[in-house]
Amino acid sequence: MIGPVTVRRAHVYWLCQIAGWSSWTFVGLSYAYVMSGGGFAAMWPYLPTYISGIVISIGWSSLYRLFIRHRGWSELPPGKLLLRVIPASFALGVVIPYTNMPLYLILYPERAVVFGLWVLPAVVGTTWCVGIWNVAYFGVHYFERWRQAELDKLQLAVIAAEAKLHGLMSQVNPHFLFNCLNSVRALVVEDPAKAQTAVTALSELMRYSLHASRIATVSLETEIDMVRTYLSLEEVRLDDRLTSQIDIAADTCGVQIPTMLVQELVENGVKHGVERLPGGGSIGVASWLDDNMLRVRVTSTGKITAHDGSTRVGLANARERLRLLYGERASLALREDGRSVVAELVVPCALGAA
Amino acid sequence: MKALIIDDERLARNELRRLLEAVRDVEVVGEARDADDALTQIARLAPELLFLDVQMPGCDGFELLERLDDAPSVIFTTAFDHYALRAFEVSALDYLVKPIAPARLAAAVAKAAARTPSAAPADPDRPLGRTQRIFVRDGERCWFVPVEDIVLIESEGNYARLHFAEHRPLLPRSLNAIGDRLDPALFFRANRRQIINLERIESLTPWPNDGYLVKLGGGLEVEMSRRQARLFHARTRL
Repeated sequence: MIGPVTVRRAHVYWLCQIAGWSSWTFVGLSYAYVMSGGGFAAMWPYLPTYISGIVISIGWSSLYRLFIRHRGWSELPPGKLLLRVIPASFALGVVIPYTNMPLYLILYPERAVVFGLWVLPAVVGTTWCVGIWNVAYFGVHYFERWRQAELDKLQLAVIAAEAKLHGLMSQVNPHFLFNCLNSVRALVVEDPAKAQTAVTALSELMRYSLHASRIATVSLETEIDMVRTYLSLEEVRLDDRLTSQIDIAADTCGVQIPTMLVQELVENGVKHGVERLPGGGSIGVASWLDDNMLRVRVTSTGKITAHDGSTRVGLANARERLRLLYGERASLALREDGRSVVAELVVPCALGAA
Repeated sequence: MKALIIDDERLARNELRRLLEAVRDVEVVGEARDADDALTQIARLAPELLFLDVQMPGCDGFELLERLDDAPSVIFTTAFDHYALRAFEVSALDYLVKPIAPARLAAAVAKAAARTPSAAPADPDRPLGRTQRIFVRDGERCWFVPVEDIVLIESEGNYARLHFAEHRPLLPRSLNAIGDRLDPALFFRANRRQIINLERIESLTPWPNDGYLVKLGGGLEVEMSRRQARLFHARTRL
């Protein structure tokens, strides 16, 4: 991507150099020759000085450009730049016409007096020209730097948003993970076959969770498979204290939802509800389509604990994720219904432009 | 040492019991699956050591300890709890992360055995010994306070405020309930609302109501009522 742009820039630079200095040399010298008498026909004998003028101007300005780059002038603030560019323009304004002078004197020694008359306007005009050259050169550089800065800012905003999204994505809860490993260790002695099943289930869940940190959305069907795996592990750990019921409408299976979001709602239901009740409880997950929107409802035994900071943070994170993915078109609500807590998620069926 | 395992997960209890079979000096006398169950078992079995899961249904491990008159040695067990256990002053207790490493378990038991006084376990009818400890917490901070370190106990409704060192935590028990368990040789009821530690008295100034103004360590001042002053005379033969 950098290659072609650089090549194009170099082309434009040389084109401008040739066109700019040719026109200035042509206009400047013609004006001098014509005004010195002889009309337009008087210009033609001096053609060699035109060519040498163009070559000399391009040569000096190119050397000047190398010098600018070497000194890194385009990085300077405008004030410091001006202090350097103005004397540099005068210097070039003198050097360019005087370098062309020897050829003129060699070819037309009889017109040395006329040259003497025109040397001051030549110096002033060339100085102006170099000034314009500087404005163009540094203008382009400043503009490009400004555009790059804008681009960087934009890129930074995108990176920040991405990082935010990743941070908001839930990982497997360590409390669950270590409890689960502990259960498995007990099962190894008690019921080796069950221990094997649990290790498989835990591996699947961990793989899914690792995957989730890279993928923003999955199909509801995939997510529900993982919810089932997760619940099977919690049932091992909590024995008969957990029962679950999953009721997913067939036409909702393919809808894309944020990865781990339903899983997180179910996990919260277990963590803050069922697990805290001495008698245990149940978890229900249901989904259906309603006017091109997917609705997922997670019901868990328990109460909303108002003072529970982690629930609020979890909920705020989940909502922020929805906002980043769907804008204002998705929602997540939590309410109490009798002895249960009901979380209801609404997301548009087509992800579309957020 | 007689130990009680308190954990809501059957598999976790089994696993810990199995691990403890290999540890000397510990005999698992019972298991409890929640706080109420634990309170009954503690009263019945008088364990010297509790293996207590921090997260339990109903009430957490800290609340359970607050409900005990006298906290036995406690080893907390937890799957993952980065904040709750850091709340403890110095190394008042040990905790083990699940799944528990056998070597860590043996070390924690040895430490608990060294800390537990060889005296007989707390008898609910006898007063608390001076080195026996009460579990208190104040927000996120927790302490096991030896009884002798308590300077003053004040009634605040159904709660009691303990004064020790520079701390003033509330205990969810009435002043009367606590007073009944304190050793009368060490603690004295100065008035209806306050119980003071006799060893912490710095000076007694006669006070207009025929009582005393009692200055305690740490800049605390308490008025002793006339009636209690008379009792105080009788007790200390002043």
